[in-house]
Amino acid sequence: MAAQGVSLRALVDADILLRALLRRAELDDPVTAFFIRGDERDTGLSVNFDMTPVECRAQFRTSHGVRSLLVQSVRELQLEIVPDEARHANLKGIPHKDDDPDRAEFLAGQLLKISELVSQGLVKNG
Amino acid sequence: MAAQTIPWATFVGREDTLVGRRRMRREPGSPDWESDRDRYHQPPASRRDLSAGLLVEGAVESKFSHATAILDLDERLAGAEIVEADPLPRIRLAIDKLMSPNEDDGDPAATEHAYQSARAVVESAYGRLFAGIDAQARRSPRHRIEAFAALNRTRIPIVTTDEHGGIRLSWQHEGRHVRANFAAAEGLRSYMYFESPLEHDVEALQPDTLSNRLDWMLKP
Repeated sequence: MAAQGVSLRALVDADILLRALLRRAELDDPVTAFFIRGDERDTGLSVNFDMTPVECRAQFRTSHGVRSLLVQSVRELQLEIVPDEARHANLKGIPHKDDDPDRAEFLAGQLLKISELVSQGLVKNG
Repeated sequence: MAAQTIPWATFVGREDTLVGRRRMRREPGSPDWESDRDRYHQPPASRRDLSAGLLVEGAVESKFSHATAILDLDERLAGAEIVEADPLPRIRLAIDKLMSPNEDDGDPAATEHAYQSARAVVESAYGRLFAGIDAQARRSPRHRIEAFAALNRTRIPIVTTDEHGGIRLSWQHEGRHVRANFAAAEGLRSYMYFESPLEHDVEALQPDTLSNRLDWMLKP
C-alpha cells in the first residue's frame, strides 16, 4: 500500500527494476534470487526502480549483489508489477516454493533469464 | 588446452600441448600422492577400474572406429591421464560446509534434518547413477566410450541453503536443469524440480527419482 501523500508513477516498459541479493546463496545459485522470501508471501517479490544499484544496496545492512530486469520483459511473463512506494514495487503472481514449487521454480528461472547481474560482491552498511 | 573435469578425474591433454601447464601424475607411494591423499578421496576400486578401462578402450577404439564423434573423443583421451578423483567427495564437502556458513554470507546453517536427508539421498542417487553407467560400460567398447562421454558431462552441482536451512543442489546441462530441495524440517516439503525446453515439473525427492533425473539430464 502506498504511503500517504506519496504519488506513484506508472511504470513503463522501458523502466528498469532492481532486485537486491541479500544472501550469498542468491549470488551462487542465481535462480534463488527470484524466489519469494518468507516476508514477501503476502506482498510479492520486492523490487526497486528509479535508483542505481548502489542506492538499492544502501537500503540493506548486508547485500551480495543486484540483478536488473526490464519492465517489458517481466510483463511478457504475465506478471503484474505493482508500485507501492515512490521507488519500490512488488511483482505479483509468483507463488512461494513451499506452496507451488513447480511454478515458483519455473518463474524464477524465467526471471533469471531476463535479468542481468549489475552489481556483485559483499557490501555492508552501518 | 584447459584441463577437462570428469566425475572422478581431471584430464589434461598431450604433454606437448601443455607446456608449462601440465599437471604431474600422483604416483601411489610418491610424496605427492601421500600429501594429496588427505585431500582427494580415492573412488571405489570398481570406479577406478572403470575409468582406467575407459581410457584403454578409448585409445584402442580410435584405431578401428570411423565414427567422428568417437574419434574426436579418442583424440582427447589419447594423451590423457587421471590426476584427481570422484565428484562425490566434493559434493559431500560442499554439503558439509553448509553446516558452518560464513557469517557475512547471510545464509543460515543447514539444519540437521536437511543435512542427513541430503547426504543420504545424494550419495544413494550417485551410487545408482554410477552403477547404471558401469553396467552400460560393460556392454561393449563402444558403450564404454559413450558411458565415458556421459560421465564427462556430469557436473558438480551448485550447493546452497535456503532461507530456513534447507539444502538445495542445482545441476544444469545443455538446457536441462535438475534442482533438489531438501526441506529444513519435518513437515516442510522436499521436492525435485526438473526442466527442459519441452517440459518442467516436480517429483518426489528420492534416490531413484534423483538418479533417474540426473541420467535424463546427461542424455545426449
